[in-house]
Parts: sequence; structure tokens; C-alpha cells
Amino acid sequence: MLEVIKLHKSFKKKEVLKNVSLEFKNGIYGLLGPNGAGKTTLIRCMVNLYDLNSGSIEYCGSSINGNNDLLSNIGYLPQKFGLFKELTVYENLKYFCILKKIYKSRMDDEIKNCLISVNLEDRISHKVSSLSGGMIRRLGIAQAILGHPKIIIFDEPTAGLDPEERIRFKNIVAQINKDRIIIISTHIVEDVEASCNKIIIMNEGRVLKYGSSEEIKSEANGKVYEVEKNLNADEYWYVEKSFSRNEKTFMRILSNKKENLKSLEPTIEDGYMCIVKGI
Amino acid sequence: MDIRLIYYDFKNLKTYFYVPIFIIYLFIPVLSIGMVKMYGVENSKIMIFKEVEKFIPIISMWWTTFIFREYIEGDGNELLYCINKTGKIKSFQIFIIFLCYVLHVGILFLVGNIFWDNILFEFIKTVVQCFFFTSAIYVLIYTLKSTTISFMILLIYALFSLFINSKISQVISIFGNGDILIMNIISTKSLKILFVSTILFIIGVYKNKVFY
Repeated sequence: MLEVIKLHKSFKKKEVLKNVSLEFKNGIYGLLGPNGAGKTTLIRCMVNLYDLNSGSIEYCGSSINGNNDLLSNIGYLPQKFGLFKELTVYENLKYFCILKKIYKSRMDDEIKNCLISVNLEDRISHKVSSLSGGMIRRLGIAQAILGHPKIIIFDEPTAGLDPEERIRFKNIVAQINKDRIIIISTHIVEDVEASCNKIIIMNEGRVLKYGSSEEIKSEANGKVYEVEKNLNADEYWYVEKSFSRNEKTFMRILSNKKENLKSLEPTIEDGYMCIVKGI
Repeated sequence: MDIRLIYYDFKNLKTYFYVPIFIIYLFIPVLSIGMVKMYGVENSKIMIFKEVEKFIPIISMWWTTFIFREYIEGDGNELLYCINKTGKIKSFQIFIIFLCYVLHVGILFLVGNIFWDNILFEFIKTVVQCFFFTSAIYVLIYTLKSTTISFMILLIYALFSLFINSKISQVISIFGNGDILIMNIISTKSLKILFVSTILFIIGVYKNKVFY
């Protein structure tokens, strides 16, 4: 079990993480929040990139801070990945095998298995610079799963990917999730909806909600309405989106006041917006 | 820190790897042969070392600059600092790159030793100058978080010291500008440069530590 205990992190006077406490057991976790919510900072604390101001991060009861054995159990894919573009895919992964101190005799098998997992085995001798953006991201996933880490953290893994690559990413995650903690940080709600067992919603350095997708959805129960656009907007309404139907324009709104309007089934996105906007 | 990583770091440089090799094994020998032909073996010695000084120390930061482009500006560079705790400080990598360069410079001086006597002092002076540039680039890349700007700053410093004849340039210059080297110069000027370089290297380690 991975535990984040009363974590505080500041950069000079700016407090980025405020008393964050979380628990992760085997499964897939979605870390949702708007830009600047503190997701990347939390992840960077988890991978020991940042020193903590206070609190601790423990895996099976031991602090991960400076513990190389525990750190080697964490696979990490940063927001951007594109290192060593002049090396081949094989050499690139070998570099990470050396960094992760994987035994020389196991390296080739590890690399092959990881490339099969991400469907890049036919590109093993290609230069990284010749790969497409989606393939480079898959190579990033391959380096994250090298050495069978017990914890895998993906930071904004689908940002900038086309729909096909996003589906492929979800399939890879579904394939590799056995006996592991997988944390996916994103601000794209639909990415976590399909694949995550638990969702953590963060904003302004705090954890606002921790629960299943049903629990997140239930936050918007009785708060989602559809109205015609020519109706005068109430100041309490939060307009999620506008759309056209039968040559009329409608709005999907969130409101915590009981409205005499057409009520809608909430989605996870509605729940997320209610939590983040405090509706 | 595994030495195999440096092999891949060098491999990733592609054609950039060959620039110092070209300077050391082709440009400087050709330049030296030309001067020897013009002025004779003994008369050309000081002039050759004066010219060598314009290239060898500056080029010592070439490999460091281009290898560390990945570590400083590469997409996902944080991976190179978080996989294991000991991998965060890159001073050993910097030192190995410096040693590789010194090895090549050593070969050049070894060949020079066939033609001229007592070039050991020149070699020591050059190694100290190379160490200065290596340490300075180490500090600058981790302070400015840009390898290009760091390289340009040191290049401007070198050009200013070598080609601008002013009181300031004489004070801050680490170059000998054709001085005949004797033990006294080595034990004063070079020792001072070595001291400053060591301080810079230590600052570089600190800046590296707080980079993430």
C-alpha cells in the first residue's frame, strides 16, 4: 500500500500542496484537477524529485524518501517524454535499464517484453527521432514499466494524443494493471472515467474528493439541468456547455438551487465540475 | 553512476561528438605543421601553443554542453534525476567527460613531445584551463537552465580574454597568451585557476542538487 501522509509542499512562499493525505492499494487511480491544482507537484513528490516540507510518503510502511529499493519500484512517465532522440528504441530502453539497475542478463528480455506490451516491438532498431508523437509516448510507457515496478505513475499521458492513441493507452493500462498501483494524472475527465477504480479530485493543492466514479457522479445528483438559451441566466447557474437541437440552442447547466427545469442524469464530468466549482 | 550511461550519452551526440575530435586530431596538427614549415620547429613552439590555447580549453566544454542538453532541457529530463537517489548529482558524469577530453588532449601533447622538449608544463596549464571551463559550464547550465546561453557566455568570456587587450581582460583571463611557462607560473597562476575551478565545481554540485 502506498500512503501519502499529511503532505505539505511549498515553493518559496507559495504553498502548492496543503495537508494532502491519500491511500493507494492495487488498482488504477485517476488524479483529476484543473491546471495548477498541484497534481504534478504531488507526483514529483511521490517519485522523490522534490523534497517534502512536511509529511511523508510511505510504501508498505517504509518512507520512500531516498530509499533506492523502494524508488526502483516506481515507474514514472512525465508530462513530456522525448529523451535521447538519436539513440534507437533498444538503446533508449537499455539506458533506462542501466539507470534502474536491472541485471544485464535480464535486460534484453525486459526490453522485448515491454515493447510487446506497448506494441512497439517492430520499432526496436528505429531511432527515437523517427517515431511519431504517439509512439514516443508509448516508448515512455515502456520505460515506465521496465523492471516490473509495483507503482506506475503517468502524468498527463494522453495530452496531445489522437483518439486512436488514447484508446491504445487505455488498453495498455488495462493490460498492465495486475497487482500494481497505477496513478494517472490528467485534466481530461473521460480518460479516467473508463479505466479508473478510484478518482481523486484536487484543486488548489487540496484533495477535494476521493471516491469511485459513481460517488463522483452522485455529487451532481439533482444539480444538472437543460435549459433553452433564450431564458435569462440565473447568477447561480454554472453553464457547462451550449448545444443545438432542432434549430434551438440549449445549455447544460449546474445549479445547487432546486430549479423548475428539465433535470438530467449526471455524468462524471458534472460531478467533477460540482466538486471543483463548489456547486 | 554507471559508465555505460556515458557511452550512450556520447552516442546520442551523433555528429556533435566529432567536433572536438576534429579540432584535436586534425585542425591543430594541420595548423602546427603549417607553422613549423613557416618558422621551423623550435621557433614555432611558442606560437603553436599560443594558438592551441585558443581552441583546446574552449572546446573542453563542447561535449558537456551537448550531453547535458538532455539533462537540462530534454523532454522528460526529470526521469534522469528521480530513478535513483544517487543519480541526482551528475558531477561524476561531468568529471568522466572531462577525463575523456583530457585523454585526447594528452595524446595530442604526447605527439607534440616528440618534437618539443618540456611540454609537460604546457599540458598541465591546458588541463587546468580545461577544468576551469568544465566547472564553469557545470555551474552555468544548472544556474541558467540553458546549455546554449551558458556556452555563449563562456565563449564570449574566452574571446574577450584572448582578443581584447585591456586591464580587465588581463585580470580575469585564465590564458597565458604566449608566456614562456616556468614552474613559477604553474605554481602561481595555474594553481589559482585550479582553486577557482574547484570552487566553481563545488557550486555546480550544489546547483545540480537543487535543480529539482
